[in-house]
Amino acid sequence: MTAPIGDQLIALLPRLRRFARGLAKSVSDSDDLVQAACERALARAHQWQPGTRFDSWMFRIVQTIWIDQMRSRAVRGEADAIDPEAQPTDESVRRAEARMSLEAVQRAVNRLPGEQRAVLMLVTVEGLSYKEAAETLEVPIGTIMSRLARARAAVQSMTGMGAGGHGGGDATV
Amino acid sequence: MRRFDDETLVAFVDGELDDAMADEVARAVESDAELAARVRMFSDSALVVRAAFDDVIKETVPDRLLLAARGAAAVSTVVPFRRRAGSTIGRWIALPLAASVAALMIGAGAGYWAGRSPVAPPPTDVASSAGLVDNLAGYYDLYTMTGVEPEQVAFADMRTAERDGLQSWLTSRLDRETKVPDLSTFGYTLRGGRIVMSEGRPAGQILYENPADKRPIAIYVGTTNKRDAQLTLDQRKDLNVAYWRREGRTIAVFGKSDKTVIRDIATKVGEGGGI
Repeated sequence: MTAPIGDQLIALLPRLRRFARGLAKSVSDSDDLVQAACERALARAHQWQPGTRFDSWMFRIVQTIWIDQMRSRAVRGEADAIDPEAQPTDESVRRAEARMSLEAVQRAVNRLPGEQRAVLMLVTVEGLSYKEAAETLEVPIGTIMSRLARARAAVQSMTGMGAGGHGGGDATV
Repeated sequence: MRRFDDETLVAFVDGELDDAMADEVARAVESDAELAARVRMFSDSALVVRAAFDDVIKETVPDRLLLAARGAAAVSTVVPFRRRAGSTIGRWIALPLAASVAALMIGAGAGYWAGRSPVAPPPTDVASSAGLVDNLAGYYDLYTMTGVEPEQVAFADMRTAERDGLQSWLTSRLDRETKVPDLSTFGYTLRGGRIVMSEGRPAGQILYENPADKRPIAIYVGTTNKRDAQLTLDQRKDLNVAYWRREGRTIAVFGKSDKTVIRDIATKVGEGGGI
C-alpha cells in the first residue's frame, strides 16, 4: 500500500536528490540512487512509522542503497568504488579548485570519504540535528561530530577558502 | 586557557553545544584569534557547502523519479478509461466507452503540432480537434509564460487553493455543475482557475502546480455537442495532452510532465472516483 507515503515521497524528492547528489559521483548516478530508494520505500512502506521523521527514514534508505552499491562495485573491482581517502595531492590542482566555484565545492564534497560525505550532507545541507543524523546513520553522536569536523576541515582544505587555525582533527571513526 | 578540539568548535558553530559549553567557547573565541579563525573556517565551510547544493532543490525533478515515487511504471500506450461500477451521474467527467465511440482527431500536419495522435483520426474530425487542442495549448502557454513561482502573479482569474470555492465559481460561470479534481496524490496542489474559450463556448481551466516539478498541470472542461470520444494522447512541442469527450463535455489535461504522468492524471480524472 503506497498511499500513506506517496505524497510525502513526492514532496521530498528535491531534498532526496540533493542528498544523493552529495553521495554519488554524477547526476545520473544520484538520480538512479533516488529512484532505487523510492522503489524500496514503497515496497517497505509498512516499515515507516507515522509520527517519526519521514525524511530521516528516506535518507537512511538512500544511504543504505548507496553503501550497497559501493560495496558491489568494490567486489567487481571498479575504480573509485569504495571512497578512497582521495585527498588531493597536487597543490596546483588544489589551488585551481580554490577558485571556489560551486562546482568545485561539490567536487570537494565528492572527494570526501563516504561516511564523512553522508554526515556532511545530512547535517550541513539537510539540516538534521546531530542526534537525528546519528539515528539516521545508526552511529553514536560522537562519531557524527568527528566525521563532521573532518569533513568541514577537508572541504576547507580542498577549496582553499578561508583561513585555518590549528590542525584538523584526527579522530578515527 | 582550555584548548577546544575541532569537534567542539564545529558543534559550537552548529549550535549543538549546551549553553554552558557554548558560553565557554564564545568567551575563548573572543580572546583567541587563532581559535576565532578556526571557528570562522568551520562556519564558512558550512555556508559554501550549503550553497553548492542549493540549486539542486530548484531543478525540475525528472519524470522517472516522479513516476517512481508514485509507484508507477512508465507506460507509453494509450489505455482506455475503465468504467467504475456504480459511478454514473454526478461525476464531473464521466468515462468514455472505448468500444463504441469515435476517436478525437488530431491534425498530424497542423503547424503547431509536433506529435502524432495515437488513435487514427477520422478525416472529418481533423480540423475541429486540431483547432481545439491548439487553442487550449495556447491557453496553457499563456498561463505558464507568466511564471509559476509563488511570488509571481499567475494568470488565473481566481487564485485559490480551495476546491469548494473554485467549484462554485466555475459552476456559476459555466452554468453547469463543475467539480474540481483533487490531484494531491500526484503531488499537485490547486492554484486556481480561469474562464477561457473553447469550441466557441466558455470553458473552465483549472490550474495545478507541484513544487517538486515546477511544470503546471492544466485541466480544461468545456461543453460540446459532438459525439463521445475516448481518451487520446497527443503532443504539442514539449506539451503533452490527454483529452476526451463525454456526455456533452470536452475534457483535456495538459502539462509538460511525461506523457505517462498526463495519461495517469487523465485516467484518474476520467474515472472520477479517486479525485
